[in-house]
Amino acid sequence: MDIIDFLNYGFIQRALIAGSFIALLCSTLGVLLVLRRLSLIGDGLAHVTFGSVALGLVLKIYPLYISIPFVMLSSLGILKLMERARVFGDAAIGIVSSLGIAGGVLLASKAGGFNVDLFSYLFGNILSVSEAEVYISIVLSASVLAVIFFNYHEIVSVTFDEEFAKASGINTKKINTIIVLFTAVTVVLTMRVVGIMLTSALLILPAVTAFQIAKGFKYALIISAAAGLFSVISGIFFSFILNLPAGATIVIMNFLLFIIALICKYNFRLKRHALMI
Amino acid sequence: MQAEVITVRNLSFKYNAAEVLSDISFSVNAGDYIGLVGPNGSGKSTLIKIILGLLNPSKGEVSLFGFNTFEMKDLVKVGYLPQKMGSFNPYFPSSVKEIVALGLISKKVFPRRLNKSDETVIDRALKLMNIHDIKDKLIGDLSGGQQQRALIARALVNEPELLILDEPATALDPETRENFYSLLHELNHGKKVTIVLVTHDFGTIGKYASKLLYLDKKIIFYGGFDDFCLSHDMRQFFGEASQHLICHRHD
Repeated sequence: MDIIDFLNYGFIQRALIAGSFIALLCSTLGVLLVLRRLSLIGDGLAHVTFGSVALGLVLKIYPLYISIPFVMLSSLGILKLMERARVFGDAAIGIVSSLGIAGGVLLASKAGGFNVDLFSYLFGNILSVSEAEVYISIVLSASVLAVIFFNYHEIVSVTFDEEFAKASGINTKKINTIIVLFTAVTVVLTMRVVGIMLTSALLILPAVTAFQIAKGFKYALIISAAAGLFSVISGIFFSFILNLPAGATIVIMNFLLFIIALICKYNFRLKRHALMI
Repeated sequence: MQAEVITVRNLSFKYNAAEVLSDISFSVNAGDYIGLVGPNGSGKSTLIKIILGLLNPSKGEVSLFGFNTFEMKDLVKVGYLPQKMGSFNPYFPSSVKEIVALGLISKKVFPRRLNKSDETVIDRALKLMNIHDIKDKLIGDLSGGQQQRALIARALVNEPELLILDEPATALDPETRENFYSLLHELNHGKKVTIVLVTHDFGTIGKYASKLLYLDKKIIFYGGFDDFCLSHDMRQFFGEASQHLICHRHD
């Protein structure tokens, strides 16, 4: 089969479009989350998504419609726990995450145990992305990129030093709320690409790849976005050609890029060291 | 009469049940250089955070330039250097120049874009702190002292009328520290910038500050050095050696 045949399939086109936009979302938000030491918020919210998917399946409502508001509320819950209960970010994520899993297991057991539908959400299937999900991912990606573009300096300031940013008159609460709400919706959409189990990889790996070689915040965002895009597109391609699960292939591609960036960084340092000698 | 830059009235702050600050009242006039001292846990950083509107007081009122701290929009007038220099992520992918530029965004309106004239202002702040030659380096690749100089440049870049510095010289080498204090002296005398400096360095306070505020959950002493040095009560409180250290250098 040649590349044209491959691209002619409707499900491949949907997967590529939705996957690319979701990759853009994850990789840009990932930079902000990793730098704020909130890398695992994706994992935590993905566990909440498990609970909400189980609820959707029990109530026989399309899980995405339940998951988006449910996970958004949970993300605000994490913020409130950090602010009000003076709980560190990782502990707040742990609390909400375990509640999500516990709720999901309880609901699944009430509904007669884990079924095929629930497992498909656990491991994702980008090739079954619907047209509605394609549109949501496009609109959301455009919104996230617009928010980052118009609030760039505020976001950098809050991410670097929240106390200084607040003292400078920046509405840090607004910026934090926007970031976690966007993360919540992104996590729900990412579940369709790589599944609940691997969601945090799409948030973390492109960002840490970028940090190995980026020489500025803007470059970190651009490199992270490029790494995320490349991983998703090449992952879909190889998974189809080699008959592998798409989600896992995307994550492996992301990891390979991270290793390449790491090698580049150390090679550059060795060369610079040699030049100095 | 000089205008009041900071006014604190009957301020108290509780953390859970513990009282951190109790019934604090004082004012800082334009052009003052206040040395804010006190033992660890005396509430110095808490007081500063309340003045800047970062924490809500349990009781009392705080105003900056005559406006309630929480209603004040014109934060351009204030430059701030937080205490925890090491709190930021050492792998943060921003250059020194990008970090210093963050000090300018409070004076910008949406979407807070920087322009050509800002570049000149940023360059001036970089040169002032002697970090112009490392402006393109990542902040995480610098030594602690260089990072601190970048953060001081960020506090100075918008040419504030009030500068609040929480233990700014901790990571600086002796030469840079001396230059930094001379710079603050110059800002205070030449440009009439009001300064509040939190420090444990009694010698420096005696040498440069115009007033001393000694805090230990409540105000123990607030006033000029002449009053402090002649005070028998303060000699008993601090001990003769500490009082001598502060007063001896204040020639």
